[in-house]
Amino acid sequence: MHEELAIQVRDVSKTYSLYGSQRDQFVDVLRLSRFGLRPRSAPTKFNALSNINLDVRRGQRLGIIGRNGAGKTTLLKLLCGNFKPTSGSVSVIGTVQALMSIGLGFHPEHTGRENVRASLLYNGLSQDEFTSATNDIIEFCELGEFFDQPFKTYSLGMQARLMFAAATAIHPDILIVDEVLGAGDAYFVAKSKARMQRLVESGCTMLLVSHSMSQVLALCETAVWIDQGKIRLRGDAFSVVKAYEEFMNNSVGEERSLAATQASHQLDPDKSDLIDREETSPQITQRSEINLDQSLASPSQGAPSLAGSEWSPLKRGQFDFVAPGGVSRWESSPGPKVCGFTIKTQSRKSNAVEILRPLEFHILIESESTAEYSCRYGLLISDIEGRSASIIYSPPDRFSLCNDETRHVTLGIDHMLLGLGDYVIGISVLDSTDLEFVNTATRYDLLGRSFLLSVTVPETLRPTTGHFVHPGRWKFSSLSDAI
Amino acid sequence: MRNAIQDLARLWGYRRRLSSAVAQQARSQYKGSVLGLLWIVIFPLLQLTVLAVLYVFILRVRPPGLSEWEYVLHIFAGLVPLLSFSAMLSASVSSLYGEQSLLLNTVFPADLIVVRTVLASQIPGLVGLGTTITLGFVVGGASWLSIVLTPIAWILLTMFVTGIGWILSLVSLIAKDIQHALGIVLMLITLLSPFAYTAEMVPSALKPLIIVNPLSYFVFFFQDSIAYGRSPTVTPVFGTLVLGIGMFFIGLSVFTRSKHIFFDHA
Repeated sequence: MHEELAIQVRDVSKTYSLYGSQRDQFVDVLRLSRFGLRPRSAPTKFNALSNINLDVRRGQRLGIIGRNGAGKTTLLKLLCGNFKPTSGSVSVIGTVQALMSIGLGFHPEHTGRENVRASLLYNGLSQDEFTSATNDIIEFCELGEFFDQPFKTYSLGMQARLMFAAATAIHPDILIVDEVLGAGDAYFVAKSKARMQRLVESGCTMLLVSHSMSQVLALCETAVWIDQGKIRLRGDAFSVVKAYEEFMNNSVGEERSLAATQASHQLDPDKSDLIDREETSPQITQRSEINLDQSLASPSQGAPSLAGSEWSPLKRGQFDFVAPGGVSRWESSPGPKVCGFTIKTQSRKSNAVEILRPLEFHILIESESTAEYSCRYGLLISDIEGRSASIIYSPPDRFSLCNDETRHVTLGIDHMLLGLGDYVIGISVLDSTDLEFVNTATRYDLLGRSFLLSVTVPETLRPTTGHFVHPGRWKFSSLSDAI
Repeated sequence: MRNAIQDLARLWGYRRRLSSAVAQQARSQYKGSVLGLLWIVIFPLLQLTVLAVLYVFILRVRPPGLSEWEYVLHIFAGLVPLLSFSAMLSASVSSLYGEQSLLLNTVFPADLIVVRTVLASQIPGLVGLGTTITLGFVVGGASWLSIVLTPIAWILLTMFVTGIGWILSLVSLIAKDIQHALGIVLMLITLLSPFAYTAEMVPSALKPLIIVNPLSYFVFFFQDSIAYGRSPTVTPVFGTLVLGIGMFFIGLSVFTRSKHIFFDHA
């Protein structure tokens, strides 16, 4: 086995027998058929995992996603060593701490302190380690008085907090987390994330099973998608999550690949075009100094214009700045579809925008048949960890479109207020219901996490900007004490 | 045999965790009760006293040649292994079933869950044993041989239970019936064991039953060493050695070989 590897899974299959009754199971497992006992019905075989190959490097953070019953938990169980694969081999180097249903050695009648003690003792901590780990747990859990109350009196969230803290206090070589972070409130989830991050930085290998895609994006660098006992996709967390989200929305495979080939065909000539223009572009030298004070003081004044530049109109099938994993089109109702997208900054096509600078999103809409529509467009900007940074909905757009026409939709932003970082853009085309009901509106089209945008901040300004440059008005005045 | 030695060496590496786990388990048994750890002392004393009172004062059994207290000691010495056996076995049989979360970790081997439970559940039995030995010295039956022989008998009994516990705890993962049936079986074994008889008193009809009942050998061993301060005869010595050591290794081998089959159905 390679030295760098923490987990190596080779051709692993796991088959469970499903029995008609407890008696049949008993007869089969103890092979009582030798003594003339026959099961009433033959067991049916269930392939929980088939031919899984998986290598996990030391210190890697791997997300495992998939639908319920896809085989995620079975895989985790095999890694714990007490369960054997039906065929293939699993080798795990190091101690495994699994955070699955309930904490190791937890007892409902014990106080939090006693449970922590038990859990740590099961892990064989020495007295010194024990004291520091306990203090660490107390500090993390913030249970206060409850720490010395029986565990059964805790709320579910408090129980989850304590179990999570206890499992992560002992620095296991491999930490397996199955859906526990969900049990806490937002504050605790954020705190847990920070704690896991620290643990991973100290060299711990982590496997996280989660149905929360933003959790996977935030905590994992790579991910595997398991479907019906097979690895369907393995790669960087972003691409896998994206493909999975698309699949979960019942994307039709053919439609997507068709769109992708269309896009790539038409993208090629554009690309060379783009490179040419970038090389000769004079805009870079024309940049004026950003004045943060001025921009913030009067955001609406003198909105910079992007007009009058070299700019070729958006063509059907042109998708620029596509994120890893391609354009991810979710299956939606028939209607207007997005058939082109690009971003324009500083009078040229680019997806790198400097903070407080203007930019435009250009979206091209086509229709499968001639019809009247009333649409609302949505543009979701999320950060690279999957957190939604901003959603911009358009007012209703009423138009009629026939299939040889396209509708050009532009979203202009005067000042990019988001801070330094890479962002991912999704686009939706919805029926124009009231904004309160936007989540239930008929969806005509949705491109999830499909395009990239990056916001740059000049080196000198970095200390003065956060995630978001909030507009606001300061007032200064002196008051006399006499009043 | 080599496998068994390797297994034991592997488990020996966990001895510190095992002792912490035993202490932990022993404490948790009485959690939620008002008297708490006092039960470790109260329970065995009450148990022994009730049965002694039943035989000596209510049924008025009086074997020839024994005083009232000598007979009480005789009953105590026979009951201690029986009652401890019942307590240890019933606790260990349900141990895997009750703590499946422990199967999801590599930090505490599944084999030791049974060992931990056996050791933790024998603590009241040890109190009973200590009481009985003390009574032995007070009444005058015990001697230095009791101090030497009784621990050996106790270790053999523990090994015997552990071996059975390993096998039955696995089987009870797929057939919980074992946990239900165990109570009856244990009651029967206890009642059919010769704890209240002296060698002369045993009815001839019971003799074959005593030979096939493995616990009779332990009962004889404990009675000889504690109540009479003498070395047991060859039969109990040989019987307990074979049962204790044999069952321990059979159980270990069965458990390590077939645990994966059973865990799948846990």
